[in-house]
Amino acid sequence: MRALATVPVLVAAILNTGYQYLVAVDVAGGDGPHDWRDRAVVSFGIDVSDPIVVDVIVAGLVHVLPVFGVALLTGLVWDLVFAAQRQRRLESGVFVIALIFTLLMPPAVSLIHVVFGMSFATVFGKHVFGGEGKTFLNPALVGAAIMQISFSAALTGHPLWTGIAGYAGTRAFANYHQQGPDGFAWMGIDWWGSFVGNVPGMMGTTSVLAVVLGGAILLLTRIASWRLIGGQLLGMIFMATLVNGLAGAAGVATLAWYWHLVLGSFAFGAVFVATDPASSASTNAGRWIQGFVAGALVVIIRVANPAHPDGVIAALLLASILAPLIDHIAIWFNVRRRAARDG
Amino acid sequence: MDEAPNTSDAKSYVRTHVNIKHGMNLQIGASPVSVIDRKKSVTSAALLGGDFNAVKFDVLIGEGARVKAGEPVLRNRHRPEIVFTAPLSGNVTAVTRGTRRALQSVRVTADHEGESVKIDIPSAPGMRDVRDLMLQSGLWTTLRARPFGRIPDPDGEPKALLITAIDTSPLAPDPAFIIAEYADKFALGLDAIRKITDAPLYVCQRPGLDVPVYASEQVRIAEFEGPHPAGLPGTHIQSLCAIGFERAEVWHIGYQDVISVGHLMETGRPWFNRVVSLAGPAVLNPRLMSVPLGACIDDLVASELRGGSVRVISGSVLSGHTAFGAVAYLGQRHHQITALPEASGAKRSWWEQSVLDTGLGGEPGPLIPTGDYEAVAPPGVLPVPLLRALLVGDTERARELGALELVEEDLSLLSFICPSKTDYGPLLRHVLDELQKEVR
Repeated sequence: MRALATVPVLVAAILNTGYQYLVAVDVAGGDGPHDWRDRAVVSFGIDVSDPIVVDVIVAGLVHVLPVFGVALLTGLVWDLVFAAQRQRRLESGVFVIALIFTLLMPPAVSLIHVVFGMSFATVFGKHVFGGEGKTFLNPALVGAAIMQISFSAALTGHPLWTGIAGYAGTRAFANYHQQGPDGFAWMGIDWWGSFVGNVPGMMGTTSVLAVVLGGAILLLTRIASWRLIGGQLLGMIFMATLVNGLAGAAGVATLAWYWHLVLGSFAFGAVFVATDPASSASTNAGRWIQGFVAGALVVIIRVANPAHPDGVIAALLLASILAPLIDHIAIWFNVRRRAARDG
Repeated sequence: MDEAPNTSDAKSYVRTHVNIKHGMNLQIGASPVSVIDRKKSVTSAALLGGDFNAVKFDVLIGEGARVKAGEPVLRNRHRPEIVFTAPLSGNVTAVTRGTRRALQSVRVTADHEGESVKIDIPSAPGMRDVRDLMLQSGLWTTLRARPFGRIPDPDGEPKALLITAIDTSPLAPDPAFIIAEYADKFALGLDAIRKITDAPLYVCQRPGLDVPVYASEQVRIAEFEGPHPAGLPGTHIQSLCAIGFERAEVWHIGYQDVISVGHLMETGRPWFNRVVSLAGPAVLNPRLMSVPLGACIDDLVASELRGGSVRVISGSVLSGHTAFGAVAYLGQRHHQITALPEASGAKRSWWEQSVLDTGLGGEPGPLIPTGDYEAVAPPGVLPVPLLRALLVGDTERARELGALELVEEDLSLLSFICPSKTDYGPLLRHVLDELQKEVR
């Protein structure tokens, strides 16, 4: 079910990645980056100067499918190794972990890096804690975080992609920090474009529209906690409004909350990553608080360090680490209320 | 937390209204028709040891001996005044013991002569008289005390006494219908029972039920609205009279047992029958039946079931016991018999088991704290922290989170929805046993 909810995001990822790639190559004068992806696209006979929808889909698939395939295979191999070693049944969650991990990757990510990141996600994000449901961090998030730390230049500085427009949520914040709203105009970013997802960025995280559709499925089937999502939205709006109102606000601090919502991975992270029940608070009050903390942290990291690619991954990791503490406080209040009631 | 009891003087007694928001009504087949079938007869009936927690039994009447209905058959070794009486007249034909020689059941084969023990009822019984009458007739054993869900001490004093006149278990009979059918006896029983204590007596019921009760300051009406577990004593205690750890107790008794007390007061004999529903997807004609206490379930369901492999349960699907072998008898506090088709033995591939239906089949997994637990938890209880405390056997934390107000049945919905396939009932009982050692 969780996998089904990512379908809108996956479709958006394929369409937008293909579209951005073709635009990028077209702007570069029809001259692609001459890597294996480029050769694959050319071999399908796609007319870069005048692409049709099928071309966009093919170009998108060329970027999304290999990353997902490699991530899934890597995860599966590690799962098999641990299942054999522990003599347990194979776990079922590798599909979703690989999917979320893929959607958090930039389009031009190296497949070697994917193997590394997914290995880290599966082994250190999941199996060292005993496997599915026993993790204290979302494994896909752990993988994405280690990728961001280990290969930050490779992830954000691919010559083709950054040469054209920059990743939304990476260069977008840096540009805005330097040039204000003109920075967006210069990059060709507008709000509706960012909402629909028509901007460069991590493969799965650009389209807030697709995230809303997938989120609706998750909420209707009650898989995701609406309290966690609502808390993040509130925390983000609260913190963005707060820093907007601060005296001497400059740079990203003046960015309004509705921009924070559509840029970078905030929406995707809020709906698909932060709602992993195993790594979030286990009380209703705790879910509100954890969500609020995560949303506020996203804005704080973006404001404090506009050069940082996004802030979402770090914020969600921190919020997950805080979850047991938040639960502890919620339990303490419940116990105290009981004691007072019992007299 | 979610429900604010508000009291108002609608009638002569205090009325409390509680709205239970969280819970789940399982839809598992047609409801029983509200017509009581009184023609059923059984060949045997039994007392089940499993109905009573931590009672050490002395067997008073051994195999082969004759008993009258209402004659003591078992005795509580540590409280000899608590006796367990025969449900019908006949011969004791089997005393079955299970693991560690725990008593499983004492079977009485009916002789259909209908002889029964008559008890003299004083004209104006006081507190001690009513308690003695209930003890002699075996009706004391229908009372339960929280914490721990055991038969209360005959010399004890509760903080409150609850009459459970509501049943929200799936396919349960409608208490309002049965109380209306036996209105006089229910009123008599209620009037007698309130004498066993000076503490407030709550009649827990659905809104709108007009309980036939003599006006008394001691009697209060508590109306519970909402899905299961709105009808469980654990829910009522959480909402009305929480239990601390200073040895305060709340007692509760079922509505049919109150009718039985009324019967005792009127005729000198307890009511040896109970009205139960026979329902479930495998039942041909779901309806109510008046049957002997501890009735043999094989007799009751004969020619009532659809073909194929059927599992028959004494009690509700959530908290009853499978009627099989030595325990194929109606439980003492059960008001229903549920029959389900046995799950087909078709083998699934590992892919289906591990991916498609992990919630149903597959192997035990971890507790995953989705919001589902909160949606069916007893009111005011933090479910995931409590279940985690039970899983690791943390008695202190479990106590702090409200374990003392609960028994196995209160956690049955949580066990039902938890993908880990853990049955939390036995874990709770283990924690309660540990806690009771501390109290002693």
